[in-house]
Amino acid sequence: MFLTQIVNGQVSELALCETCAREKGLFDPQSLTFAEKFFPEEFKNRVDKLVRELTMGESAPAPACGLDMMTRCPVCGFGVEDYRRTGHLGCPDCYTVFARELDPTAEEPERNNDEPPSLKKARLQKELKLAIEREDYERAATLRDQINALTDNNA
Amino acid sequence: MKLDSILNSPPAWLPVRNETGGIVVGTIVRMVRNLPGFPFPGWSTRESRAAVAAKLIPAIKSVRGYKTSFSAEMNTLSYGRRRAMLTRKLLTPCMAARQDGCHVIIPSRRNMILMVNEEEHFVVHAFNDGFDINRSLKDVLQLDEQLQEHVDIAYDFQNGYLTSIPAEAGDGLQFYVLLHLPALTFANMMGQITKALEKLHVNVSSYFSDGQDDTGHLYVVFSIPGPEDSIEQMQDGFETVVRHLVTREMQVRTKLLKDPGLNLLDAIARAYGLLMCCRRLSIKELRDSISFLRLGTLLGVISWEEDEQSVLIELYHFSLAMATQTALAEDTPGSDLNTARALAARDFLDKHPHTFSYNQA
Ligand SMILES: [Zn+2]
Ligand SMILES: [Zn+2]
Repeated sequence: MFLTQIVNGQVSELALCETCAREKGLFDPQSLTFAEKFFPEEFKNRVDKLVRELTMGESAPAPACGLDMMTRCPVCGFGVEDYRRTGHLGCPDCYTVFARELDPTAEEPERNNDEPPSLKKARLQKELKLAIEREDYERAATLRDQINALTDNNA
Repeated sequence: MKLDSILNSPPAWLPVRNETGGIVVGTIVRMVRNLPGFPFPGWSTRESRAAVAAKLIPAIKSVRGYKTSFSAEMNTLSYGRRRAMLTRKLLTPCMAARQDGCHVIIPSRRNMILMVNEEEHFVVHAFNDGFDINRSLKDVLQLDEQLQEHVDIAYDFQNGYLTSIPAEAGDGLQFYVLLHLPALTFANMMGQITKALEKLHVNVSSYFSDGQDDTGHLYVVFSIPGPEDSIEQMQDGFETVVRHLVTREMQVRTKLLKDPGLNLLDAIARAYGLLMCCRRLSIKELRDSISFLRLGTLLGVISWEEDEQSVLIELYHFSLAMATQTALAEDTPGSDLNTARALAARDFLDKHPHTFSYNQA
């Protein structure tokens, strides 16, 4: 299942499997009837692409359902994978949830190198806790490695 | 129905005078805003859209001096009405495809359309005739200020106004100008110009983005919001581009005035002949022919007994009225307007005394 965003006559998609879509309450075929009428070309291409992916099994790197380990926005359920795939966000709160993804340069402006290791460790541990709460295990793994490295150096 | 009267009266973006040789038709300023705590329309549920509408619509209605002329949930509008509104820029293509929980509102001044749950929660298009961004910009910013007294808008200091596409977050403003560029089109220069403008964050698309044949040498030129530009820079750059386009069109027209060439004279003569004599006429033929008629007028091939400028404006109105009628007819399967359209075209020429110069070429 997918919802459409139509920008200046261009259709881009937010693709989801039907199960996920139903869980999110997004299964709203009515909203697509007019999309088809107004953008027949784009609509056809989109459906063709979807059918091709389904039949050939070479779908775009879709998040594994249920095993979804990505950050999700607690307000709207949008995932970081959805953003990477579509370039869209789910709701205004996504800006905060995905701040790191949106502006990776803002992430760690090479904090003062003279940040005391004990403080740095405390900070990283706090970030790790938040990352786990967000179920952002990718980020959590990076942070865990950083904490371990810090611990090893100081050992 | 109120919509019928709106569809029958001239839209606010149509010029009353024919400035700059009728090259600039009108200006549209788009403003988008979102409500915090609700999914964007592209990621929404029926329930969340309804909740957004329940917050926004009362807020809109409590804006000072605001009166509604027309308001509808999209699921109540037929296909033909949507098409007709698209033709008259009273809906965006995105909005035309929307349904439950999505609303379009036209205030009684009819100088703007307000859309709830378009691509963003709240989208305003403000119109004015001719080339004047400041006028419509003032209208949307005033509405924004008053609206924000009644409803929270998603904003943060780093990104500005938050939008469904992060790259577009910022001022939430975009400028559109409608241009009639028959000379540049006839000189086959539009493709090249479109490519060059992309680098300047300016896009060109055909004017009738309504799925019908895109004809009539009419274009929409619009700004693409860039994250690094301030609104003043964007407006400045955009205005420069539009003025440049107007100059180019003028230059080519001047060149054509000296030497129209047999091909152009032939195209104008064919268009005139078609409108004079046809018994059946498609909407594409009508739009194309009227555009050539306008160009023929500017080149002095056709001269009108009435004030030339007002005839040129009337030709816009006529073309738009025909396109609206055609769109509305889509609700009646099997209807055929080709004969009526031919009659209307011949009638128009009949009622506007003119001479066609056969001497040139
Ligand atoms: Zn799924
Ligand atoms: Zn979100």
